[in-house]
Amino acid sequence: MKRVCLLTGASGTLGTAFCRAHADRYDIVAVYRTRPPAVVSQLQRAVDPLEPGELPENAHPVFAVQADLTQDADIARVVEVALARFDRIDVVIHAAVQRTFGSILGGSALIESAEDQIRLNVVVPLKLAAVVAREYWQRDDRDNRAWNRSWINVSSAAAAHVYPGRGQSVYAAAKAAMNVMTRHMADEFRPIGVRVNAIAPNGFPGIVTTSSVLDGLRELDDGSMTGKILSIGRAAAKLS
Amino acid sequence: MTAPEPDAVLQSRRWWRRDRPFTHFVASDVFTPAFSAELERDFRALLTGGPDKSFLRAKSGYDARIYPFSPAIDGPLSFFISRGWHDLLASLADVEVTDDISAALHHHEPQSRDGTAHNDLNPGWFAAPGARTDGINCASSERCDYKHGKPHAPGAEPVERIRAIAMIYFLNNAAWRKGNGGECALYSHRGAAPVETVAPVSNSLLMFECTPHSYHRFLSNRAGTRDSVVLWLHRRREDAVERWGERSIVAWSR
Repeated sequence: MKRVCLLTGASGTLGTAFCRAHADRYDIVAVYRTRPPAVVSQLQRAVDPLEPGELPENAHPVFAVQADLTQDADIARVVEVALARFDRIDVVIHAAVQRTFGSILGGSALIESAEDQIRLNVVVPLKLAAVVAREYWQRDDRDNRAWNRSWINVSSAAAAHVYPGRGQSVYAAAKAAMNVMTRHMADEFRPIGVRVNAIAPNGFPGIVTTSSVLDGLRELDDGSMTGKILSIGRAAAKLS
Repeated sequence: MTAPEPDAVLQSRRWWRRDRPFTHFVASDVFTPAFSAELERDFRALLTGGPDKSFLRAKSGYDARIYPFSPAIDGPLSFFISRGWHDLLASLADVEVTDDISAALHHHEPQSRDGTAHNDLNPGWFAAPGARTDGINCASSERCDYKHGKPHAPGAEPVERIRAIAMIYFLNNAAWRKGNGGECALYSHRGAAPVETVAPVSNSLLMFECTPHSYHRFLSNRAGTRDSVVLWLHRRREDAVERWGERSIVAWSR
Protein backbone atom coordinates (compact mmCIF):
# COMPACT_ATOMS: atom_id res chain seq x y z
CA MET A 1 0.00 0.00 0.00
CA LYS A 2 1.27 3.44 -0.90
CA ARG A 3 2.13 5.90 1.83
CA VAL A 4 0.03 9.04 1.82
CA CYS A 5 2.11 12.20 1.50
CA LEU A 6 0.78 15.69 2.01
CA LEU A 7 3.20 17.86 0.04
CA THR A 8 3.17 21.66 0.18
CA GLY A 9 4.93 23.71 -2.49
CA ALA A 10 4.07 21.04 -5.01
CA SER A 11 4.56 23.21 -8.07
CA GLY A 12 8.06 24.30 -7.04
CA THR A 13 11.27 22.71 -8.29
CA LEU A 14 11.51 20.19 -5.47
CA GLY A 15 7.78 19.56 -5.22
CA THR A 16 7.44 18.84 -8.92
CA ALA A 17 10.52 16.59 -8.88
CA PHE A 18 9.15 14.71 -5.89
CA CYS A 19 5.83 14.12 -7.64
CA ARG A 20 7.54 12.89 -10.80
CA ALA A 21 9.93 10.61 -8.94
CA HIS A 22 7.63 9.19 -6.28
CA ALA A 23 4.03 9.22 -7.44
CA ASP A 24 4.26 5.45 -7.77
CA ARG A 25 5.36 5.13 -4.15
CA TYR A 26 3.16 7.72 -2.46
CA ASP A 27 -0.42 8.85 -2.82
CA ILE A 28 0.45 12.53 -2.98
CA VAL A 29 -1.79 15.39 -1.94
CA ALA A 30 -0.01 18.07 -3.95
CA VAL A 31 -0.78 21.48 -2.45
CA TYR A 32 -0.07 24.46 -4.68
CA ARG A 33 -0.89 28.16 -4.43
CA THR A 34 -1.17 29.46 -7.99
CA ARG A 35 -0.20 27.09 -10.76
CA PRO A 36 -0.84 23.34 -10.53
CA PRO A 37 2.31 21.22 -10.58
CA ALA A 38 3.33 20.10 -14.06
CA VAL A 39 2.65 16.47 -13.31
CA VAL A 40 -0.17 14.01 -13.89
CA SER A 41 -3.06 14.78 -11.57
CA GLN A 42 -6.84 14.82 -11.51
CA LEU A 43 -6.49 18.16 -13.30
CA GLN A 44 -4.38 17.01 -16.22
CA ARG A 45 -3.00 13.93 -17.83
CA ALA A 46 -0.25 13.39 -20.33
CA VAL A 47 -0.98 12.60 -23.95
CA ASP A 48 1.25 11.71 -26.85
CA PRO A 49 0.16 13.82 -29.82
CA LEU A 50 1.38 11.20 -32.26
CA GLU A 51 -0.16 8.23 -30.49
CA PRO A 52 -3.24 9.34 -28.58
CA GLY A 53 -4.17 6.82 -25.95
CA GLU A 54 -3.44 6.06 -22.36
CA LEU A 55 0.17 6.44 -21.25
CA PRO A 56 1.75 4.43 -18.41
CA GLU A 57 2.70 7.63 -16.58
CA ASN A 58 -0.98 8.45 -16.11
CA ALA A 59 -1.34 5.47 -13.78
CA HIS A 60 -0.17 7.44 -10.75
CA PRO A 61 -1.88 10.84 -10.65
CA VAL A 62 -1.28 13.12 -7.72
CA PHE A 63 -4.24 14.76 -6.05
CA ALA A 64 -3.72 18.47 -6.63
CA VAL A 65 -5.24 20.91 -4.14
CA GLN A 66 -5.09 24.68 -4.52
CA ALA A 67 -4.66 26.49 -1.23
CA ASP A 68 -3.22 29.62 0.30
CA LEU A 69 -1.61 28.19 3.40
CA THR A 70 -1.28 31.59 4.98
CA GLN A 71 -5.05 31.38 5.49
CA ASP A 72 -6.19 29.29 8.45
CA ALA A 73 -9.31 28.16 6.62
CA ASP A 74 -7.22 26.79 3.76
CA ILE A 75 -5.00 24.85 6.17
CA ALA A 76 -8.07 23.22 7.66
CA ARG A 77 -9.49 22.50 4.21
CA VAL A 78 -6.27 20.90 2.96
CA VAL A 79 -6.19 18.49 5.87
CA GLU A 80 -9.88 17.75 5.53
CA VAL A 81 -9.70 16.93 1.82
CA ALA A 82 -6.52 14.87 2.27
CA LEU A 83 -8.19 12.71 4.88
CA ALA A 84 -11.42 12.55 2.90
CA ARG A 85 -9.51 11.42 -0.19
CA PHE A 86 -7.08 8.93 1.35
CA ASP A 87 -8.18 8.32 4.96
CA ARG A 88 -4.59 8.69 6.17
CA ILE A 89 -1.66 11.10 6.23
CA ASP A 90 1.63 9.24 6.63
CA VAL A 91 4.12 11.95 5.90
CA VAL A 92 3.96 15.71 5.46
CA ILE A 93 6.67 17.42 3.44
CA HIS A 94 6.56 21.17 3.87
CA ALA A 95 8.32 22.39 0.74
CA ALA A 96 6.39 25.60 0.20
CA VAL A 97 8.76 28.52 0.04
CA GLN A 98 8.49 32.29 0.04
CA ARG A 99 11.90 33.64 -0.78
CA THR A 100 12.98 37.23 -1.23
CA PHE A 101 16.66 38.07 -1.32
CA GLY A 102 17.90 41.62 -0.94
CA SER A 103 20.00 44.05 0.99
CA ILE A 104 18.86 45.22 4.39
CA LEU A 105 20.14 48.67 3.49
CA GLY A 106 19.17 48.62 -0.15
CA GLY A 107 15.46 49.29 -0.21
CA SER A 108 12.13 48.19 1.11
CA ALA A 109 11.45 44.96 -0.77
CA LEU A 110 13.31 42.77 1.71
CA ILE A 111 11.80 44.46 4.73
CA GLU A 112 8.30 44.21 3.31
CA SER A 113 8.76 40.50 2.61
CA ALA A 114 10.06 39.62 6.06
CA GLU A 115 6.80 38.74 7.73
CA ASP A 116 5.62 36.65 4.78
CA GLN A 117 8.90 34.72 4.69
CA ILE A 118 8.79 33.97 8.39
CA ARG A 119 5.10 33.13 8.21
CA LEU A 120 5.55 30.49 5.52
CA ASN A 121 8.66 28.95 7.06
CA VAL A 122 7.60 28.92 10.70
CA VAL A 123 3.98 29.83 11.33
CA VAL A 124 2.46 27.81 8.49
CA PRO A 125 4.18 24.52 9.39
CA LEU A 126 3.32 25.15 13.01
CA LYS A 127 -0.38 25.60 12.23
CA LEU A 128 -0.52 22.84 9.64
CA ALA A 129 1.17 20.36 11.97
CA ALA A 130 -1.23 21.23 14.75
CA VAL A 131 -4.23 20.62 12.50
CA VAL A 132 -2.87 17.34 11.13
CA ALA A 133 -2.18 16.17 14.68
CA ARG A 134 -5.54 17.26 15.99
CA GLU A 135 -7.51 15.80 13.09
CA TYR A 136 -5.60 12.55 12.68
CA TRP A 137 -2.24 11.84 14.33
CA GLN A 138 -3.43 12.24 17.91
CA ARG A 139 -5.88 9.36 17.49
CA ASP A 140 -3.44 6.47 17.76
CA ASP A 141 0.28 6.74 18.54
CA ARG A 142 0.78 2.99 17.97
CA ASP A 143 -0.67 3.26 14.50
CA ASN A 144 1.62 6.21 13.81
CA ARG A 145 4.66 4.20 14.86
CA ALA A 146 3.54 1.18 12.87
CA TRP A 147 3.30 3.38 9.78
CA ASN A 148 6.52 5.23 10.66
CA ARG A 149 4.70 8.53 10.22
CA SER A 150 6.76 11.65 9.95
CA TRP A 151 6.99 15.32 9.14
CA ILE A 152 9.76 16.81 7.03
CA ASN A 153 10.47 20.54 6.77
CA VAL A 154 12.46 21.70 3.78
CA SER A 155 15.04 24.05 5.24
CA SER A 156 18.26 25.36 3.72
CA ALA A 157 22.01 25.39 4.19
CA ALA A 158 21.56 29.14 4.56
CA ALA A 159 20.08 28.52 8.01
CA ALA A 160 23.54 27.71 9.37
CA HIS A 161 25.85 29.70 7.09
CA VAL A 162 26.26 33.27 6.00
CA TYR A 163 26.88 33.48 2.26
CA PRO A 164 28.21 37.02 1.92
CA GLY A 165 26.57 39.29 -0.58
CA ARG A 166 23.61 37.05 -1.31
CA GLY A 167 21.02 39.10 0.55
CA GLN A 168 19.75 36.05 2.39
CA SER A 169 19.30 37.64 5.82
CA VAL A 170 15.57 37.15 6.24
CA TYR A 171 15.46 33.90 4.29
CA ALA A 172 18.29 32.46 6.39
CA ALA A 173 16.72 33.67 9.61
CA ALA A 174 13.41 32.12 8.65
CA LYS A 175 15.09 28.80 7.85
CA ALA A 176 17.07 28.93 11.10
CA ALA A 177 13.81 29.44 12.94
CA MET A 178 12.35 26.54 10.97
CA ASN A 179 15.20 24.33 12.20
CA VAL A 180 14.53 25.28 15.80
CA MET A 181 10.82 24.69 15.28
CA THR A 182 11.65 21.30 13.79
CA ARG A 183 13.51 20.21 16.92
CA HIS A 184 10.69 21.39 19.15
CA MET A 185 8.11 19.66 17.00
CA ALA A 186 10.18 16.48 17.21
CA ASP A 187 10.14 16.73 20.97
CA GLU A 188 6.42 17.35 21.21
CA PHE A 189 5.36 14.82 18.54
CA ARG A 190 7.47 12.00 19.98
CA PRO A 191 4.71 10.93 22.41
CA ILE A 192 2.20 10.59 19.57
CA GLY A 193 4.63 8.47 17.56
CA VAL A 194 5.40 10.93 14.79
CA ARG A 195 8.96 11.76 13.80
CA VAL A 196 9.89 15.31 12.77
CA ASN A 197 12.99 16.20 10.77
CA ALA A 198 14.25 18.77 8.32
CA ILE A 199 16.38 18.66 5.22
CA ALA A 200 18.83 21.50 4.65
CA PRO A 201 20.16 21.43 1.10
CA ASN A 202 22.52 23.83 -0.51
CA GLY A 203 21.24 25.52 -3.69
CA PHE A 204 19.52 23.18 -6.09
CA PRO A 205 19.65 22.48 -8.90
CA GLY A 206 23.14 23.84 -9.21
CA ILE A 207 25.37 23.43 -6.21
CA VAL A 208 23.65 20.15 -5.41
CA THR A 209 21.35 18.11 -7.62
CA THR A 210 17.64 17.93 -7.10
CA SER A 211 17.91 14.14 -7.08
CA SER A 212 20.27 14.31 -4.09
CA VAL A 213 17.62 16.30 -2.23
CA LEU A 214 15.02 13.70 -3.19
CA ASP A 215 17.33 11.01 -1.84
CA GLY A 216 17.57 12.94 1.41
CA LEU A 217 13.79 13.09 1.70
CA ARG A 218 13.61 9.34 1.20
CA GLU A 219 16.29 8.83 3.85
CA LEU A 220 14.35 10.91 6.36
CA ASP A 221 11.02 9.28 5.58
CA ASP A 222 12.33 5.72 5.56
CA GLY A 223 14.54 6.10 8.64
CA SER A 224 13.89 6.13 12.35
CA MET A 225 15.55 9.43 13.26
CA THR A 226 13.73 12.38 14.73
CA GLY A 227 14.86 15.92 15.44
CA LYS A 228 17.51 15.66 12.72
CA ILE A 229 18.52 18.48 10.36
CA LEU A 230 19.93 16.62 7.37
CA SER A 231 22.45 18.67 5.41
CA ILE A 232 22.75 18.09 1.68
CA GLY A 233 25.90 19.39 0.04
CA ARG A 234 26.91 21.83 2.70
CA ALA A 235 29.35 24.25 1.15
CA ALA A 236 32.55 25.36 2.84
CA ALA A 237 31.22 28.83 3.39
CA LYS A 238 32.80 31.50 5.44
CA LEU A 239 31.00 32.34 8.62
CA SER A 240 31.06 35.99 9.27
CA MET B 1 7.76 23.19 -50.75
CA THR B 2 6.17 20.10 -49.18
CA ALA B 3 5.22 20.46 -45.53
CA PRO B 4 7.04 18.04 -43.24
CA GLU B 5 5.21 15.28 -41.44
CA PRO B 6 4.52 16.03 -37.77
CA ASP B 7 6.78 13.26 -36.49
CA ALA B 8 9.71 14.89 -38.29
CA VAL B 9 9.36 18.24 -36.54
CA LEU B 10 7.68 17.60 -33.20
CA GLN B 11 9.93 18.01 -30.19
CA SER B 12 7.63 17.27 -27.26
CA ARG B 13 5.79 13.98 -27.19
CA ARG B 14 4.18 14.92 -23.90
CA TRP B 15 1.26 17.29 -24.13
CA TRP B 16 -1.20 17.93 -21.34
CA ARG B 17 -4.92 17.33 -21.52
CA ARG B 18 -6.89 19.37 -18.99
CA ASP B 19 -10.62 19.24 -18.44
CA ARG B 20 -11.27 22.45 -16.52
CA PRO B 21 -12.95 24.74 -17.34
CA PHE B 22 -13.42 22.75 -20.55
CA THR B 23 -11.29 20.13 -22.23
CA HIS B 24 -8.18 21.62 -23.73
CA PHE B 25 -4.62 20.67 -24.56
CA VAL B 26 -1.46 22.60 -23.83
CA ALA B 27 2.10 21.85 -24.86
CA SER B 28 5.45 23.53 -24.62
CA ASP B 29 8.57 22.96 -26.70
CA VAL B 30 6.20 21.82 -29.40
CA PHE B 31 8.62 21.76 -32.33
CA THR B 32 12.30 21.09 -32.69
CA PRO B 33 14.47 24.19 -32.22
CA ALA B 34 15.36 24.17 -35.89
CA PHE B 35 11.76 24.04 -37.10
CA SER B 36 10.44 26.55 -34.58
CA ALA B 37 13.22 28.91 -35.72
CA GLU B 38 12.12 28.41 -39.34
CA LEU B 39 8.54 29.22 -38.39
CA GLU B 40 9.64 32.40 -36.63
CA ARG B 41 11.79 33.50 -39.58
CA ASP B 42 8.85 32.93 -41.90
CA PHE B 43 6.53 34.85 -39.55
CA ARG B 44 8.89 37.80 -39.22
CA ALA B 45 9.40 37.99 -42.97
CA LEU B 46 5.66 38.30 -43.49
CA LEU B 47 5.19 40.70 -40.59
CA THR B 48 7.89 43.08 -41.71
CA GLY B 49 6.85 43.28 -45.30
CA GLY B 50 5.96 40.12 -47.10
CA PRO B 51 5.20 40.23 -50.80
CA ASP B 52 1.59 41.24 -50.26
CA LYS B 53 1.93 43.02 -46.88
CA SER B 54 -1.53 41.88 -45.96
CA PHE B 55 -1.60 41.98 -42.17
CA LEU B 56 -5.02 43.54 -41.76
CA ARG B 57 -6.56 45.29 -38.80
CA ALA B 58 -9.10 42.89 -37.22
CA LYS B 59 -12.68 43.94 -36.81
CA SER B 60 -15.23 43.57 -34.03
CA GLY B 61 -13.16 44.58 -31.04
CA TYR B 62 -10.26 42.18 -31.48
CA ASP B 63 -7.21 44.41 -31.15
CA ALA B 64 -4.79 42.67 -33.52
CA ARG B 65 -3.52 42.63 -37.05
CA ILE B 66 -4.18 39.45 -38.98
CA TYR B 67 -2.59 37.74 -41.95
CA PRO B 68 -4.95 35.09 -43.35
CA PHE B 69 -3.42 32.00 -44.89
CA SER B 70 -4.27 31.34 -48.50
CA PRO B 71 -4.40 27.85 -50.02
CA ALA B 72 -1.20 28.71 -51.89
CA ILE B 73 0.83 29.63 -48.81
CA ASP B 74 4.32 28.20 -49.06
CA GLY B 75 7.25 27.85 -46.71
CA PRO B 76 7.44 26.46 -43.16
CA LEU B 77 4.18 28.07 -42.00
CA SER B 78 2.27 25.98 -44.56
CA PHE B 79 2.82 23.10 -42.13
CA PHE B 80 -0.17 24.34 -40.12
CA ILE B 81 -2.57 23.63 -42.97
CA SER B 82 -0.98 20.31 -43.92
CA ARG B 83 -2.82 17.02 -43.89
CA GLY B 84 -0.53 15.64 -41.20
CA TRP B 85 -1.14 18.49 -38.76
CA HIS B 86 -4.89 18.53 -39.48
CA ASP B 87 -5.19 14.81 -38.75
CA LEU B 88 -3.02 15.01 -35.63
CA LEU B 89 -5.19 17.71 -34.06
CA ALA B 90 -8.43 15.96 -34.96
CA SER B 91 -7.23 12.64 -33.64
CA LEU B 92 -5.95 14.08 -30.39
CA ALA B 93 -9.15 16.02 -29.72
CA ASP B 94 -11.21 13.01 -30.86
CA VAL B 95 -13.46 15.20 -32.96
CA GLU B 96 -14.96 14.27 -36.32
CA VAL B 97 -14.00 17.08 -38.64
CA THR B 98 -14.15 17.96 -42.30
CA ASP B 99 -11.06 18.79 -44.36
CA ASP B 100 -11.70 22.53 -44.04
CA ILE B 101 -9.19 24.80 -42.32
CA SER B 102 -9.09 28.50 -41.63
CA ALA B 103 -5.72 29.77 -40.43
CA ALA B 104 -4.05 33.12 -39.90
CA LEU B 105 -1.11 34.86 -38.28
CA HIS B 106 -2.05 37.20 -35.45
CA HIS B 107 0.06 40.13 -34.27
CA HIS B 108 -0.72 42.18 -31.18
CA GLU B 109 1.13 45.41 -30.59
CA PRO B 110 2.06 46.09 -26.94
CA GLN B 111 -0.84 47.35 -24.84
CA SER B 112 -3.44 45.78 -27.12
CA ARG B 113 -6.86 45.84 -25.53
CA ASP B 114 -8.44 42.87 -23.78
CA GLY B 115 -10.63 40.74 -26.00
CA THR B 116 -14.16 39.75 -25.10
CA ALA B 117 -15.02 36.25 -23.94
CA HIS B 118 -16.37 34.09 -26.75
CA ASN B 119 -16.64 30.40 -27.51
CA ASP B 120 -15.64 30.19 -31.21
CA LEU B 121 -18.72 28.14 -32.07
CA ASN B 122 -19.10 30.15 -35.26
CA PRO B 123 -19.82 29.32 -38.88
CA GLY B 124 -17.15 29.26 -41.56
CA TRP B 125 -17.83 29.05 -45.28
CA PHE B 126 -15.70 27.15 -47.77
CA ALA B 127 -15.87 26.84 -51.52
CA ALA B 128 -15.35 23.25 -52.55
CA PRO B 129 -13.37 21.60 -53.91
CA GLY B 130 -10.11 22.79 -52.39
CA ALA B 131 -7.06 23.54 -54.46
CA ARG B 132 -4.54 21.48 -52.50
CA THR B 133 -3.33 18.05 -53.49
CA ASP B 134 -3.53 16.70 -49.94
CA GLY B 135 -7.28 17.34 -49.85
CA ILE B 136 -7.09 20.05 -47.21
CA ASN B 137 -9.44 22.89 -48.08
CA CYS B 138 -7.99 26.14 -46.81
CA ALA B 139 -10.34 29.09 -46.54
CA SER B 140 -9.84 31.53 -49.37
CA SER B 141 -11.33 35.01 -49.55
CA GLU B 142 -10.72 34.90 -53.31
CA ARG B 143 -13.32 32.15 -53.59
CA CYS B 144 -15.88 33.03 -50.93
CA ASP B 145 -16.43 35.11 -47.83
CA TYR B 146 -15.50 33.03 -44.79
CA LYS B 147 -18.04 34.54 -42.40
CA HIS B 148 -21.13 34.80 -44.59
CA GLY B 149 -20.53 32.60 -47.62
CA LYS B 150 -20.84 35.17 -50.35
CA PRO B 151 -19.17 33.68 -53.47
CA HIS B 152 -16.26 35.66 -54.86
CA ALA B 153 -15.36 33.50 -57.83
CA PRO B 154 -17.31 32.00 -60.72
CA GLY B 155 -18.41 28.46 -59.99
CA ALA B 156 -17.72 28.68 -56.29
CA GLU B 157 -20.37 26.81 -54.33
CA PRO B 158 -19.83 27.80 -50.70
CA VAL B 159 -20.62 25.25 -48.01
CA GLU B 160 -21.27 26.26 -44.43
CA ARG B 161 -19.23 24.54 -41.73
CA ILE B 162 -18.94 25.17 -38.00
CA ARG B 163 -15.69 25.68 -36.15
CA ALA B 164 -14.76 22.45 -34.37
CA ILE B 165 -11.21 22.79 -33.03
CA ALA B 166 -9.29 25.95 -32.23
CA MET B 167 -5.50 26.02 -32.00
CA ILE B 168 -3.18 28.83 -31.00
CA TYR B 169 0.55 28.36 -31.50
CA PHE B 170 2.70 31.08 -29.94
CA LEU B 171 5.91 32.18 -31.63
CA ASN B 172 8.25 35.12 -32.05
CA ASN B 173 7.51 36.37 -28.51
CA ALA B 174 10.10 37.64 -26.05
CA ALA B 175 10.72 35.62 -22.89
CA TRP B 176 7.47 35.77 -20.95
CA ARG B 177 7.21 36.67 -17.27
CA LYS B 178 4.23 36.83 -15.01
CA GLY B 179 2.71 40.28 -15.34
CA ASN B 180 3.60 40.64 -19.01
CA GLY B 181 0.06 39.74 -20.04
CA GLY B 182 -0.95 38.44 -23.45
CA GLU B 183 -2.34 35.22 -22.07
CA CYS B 184 -5.34 33.38 -23.40
CA ALA B 185 -7.76 33.16 -20.48
CA LEU B 186 -10.19 30.24 -20.20
CA TYR B 187 -13.57 30.59 -18.51
CA SER B 188 -16.30 28.27 -17.27
CA HIS B 189 -18.89 30.78 -18.45
CA ARG B 190 -19.12 34.33 -19.67
CA GLY B 191 -18.55 36.83 -16.87
CA ALA B 192 -16.71 34.38 -14.63
CA ALA B 193 -13.19 34.73 -13.34
CA PRO B 194 -10.63 32.88 -15.47
CA VAL B 195 -10.05 29.30 -14.42
CA GLU B 196 -6.77 29.15 -16.28
CA THR B 197 -4.55 31.49 -18.25
CA VAL B 198 -2.22 30.17 -20.95
CA ALA B 199 0.90 32.27 -21.34
CA PRO B 200 2.10 33.19 -24.86
CA VAL B 201 5.41 31.40 -24.50
CA SER B 202 7.10 30.89 -27.83
CA ASN B 203 6.93 27.36 -29.23
CA SER B 204 3.95 26.45 -27.06
CA LEU B 205 0.36 25.86 -28.03
CA LEU B 206 -3.20 25.69 -26.81
CA MET B 207 -5.90 23.61 -28.49
CA PHE B 208 -9.53 22.92 -27.64
CA GLU B 209 -12.78 21.75 -29.12
CA CYS B 210 -15.18 24.58 -29.89
CA THR B 211 -18.36 24.01 -27.90
CA PRO B 212 -21.03 26.24 -26.37
CA HIS B 213 -18.87 26.26 -23.23
CA SER B 214 -15.38 26.96 -24.58
CA TYR B 215 -15.24 30.58 -23.43
CA HIS B 216 -11.87 32.24 -23.79
CA ARG B 217 -10.39 35.61 -24.54
CA PHE B 218 -7.16 37.49 -25.15
CA LEU B 219 -5.75 39.37 -22.17
CA SER B 220 -3.93 42.61 -22.81
CA ASN B 221 -0.20 42.26 -23.44
CA ARG B 222 1.28 44.87 -21.17
CA ALA B 223 4.87 44.18 -22.21
CA GLY B 224 6.06 43.31 -25.69
CA THR B 225 4.30 42.17 -28.80
CA ARG B 226 2.31 38.93 -28.86
CA ASP B 227 2.44 36.80 -31.98
CA SER B 228 0.68 33.57 -32.80
CA VAL B 229 -0.65 31.26 -35.44
CA VAL B 230 -4.37 30.70 -35.01
CA LEU B 231 -6.33 28.05 -36.85
CA TRP B 232 -9.66 26.32 -36.80
CA LEU B 233 -10.69 22.92 -38.05
CA HIS B 234 -14.39 22.56 -38.85
CA ARG B 235 -17.27 20.13 -38.57
CA ARG B 236 -20.43 19.69 -40.58
CA ARG B 237 -23.14 22.12 -39.61
CA GLU B 238 -25.69 19.38 -39.12
CA ASP B 239 -23.39 17.62 -36.67
CA ALA B 240 -23.09 20.75 -34.53
CA VAL B 241 -26.85 21.36 -34.66
CA GLU B 242 -27.62 17.76 -33.75
CA ARG B 243 -25.27 17.93 -30.78
CA TRP B 244 -26.04 21.37 -29.35
CA GLY B 245 -29.03 22.76 -31.19
CA GLU B 246 -29.51 25.46 -33.79
CA ARG B 247 -29.42 28.29 -31.27
CA SER B 248 -25.98 27.30 -30.01
CA ILE B 249 -24.36 28.42 -33.27
CA VAL B 250 -23.03 31.96 -32.87
CA ALA B 251 -23.68 33.75 -36.15
CA TRP B 252 -21.37 36.56 -37.26
CA SER B 253 -22.75 40.06 -37.05
CA ARG B 254 -23.02 41.82 -40.39
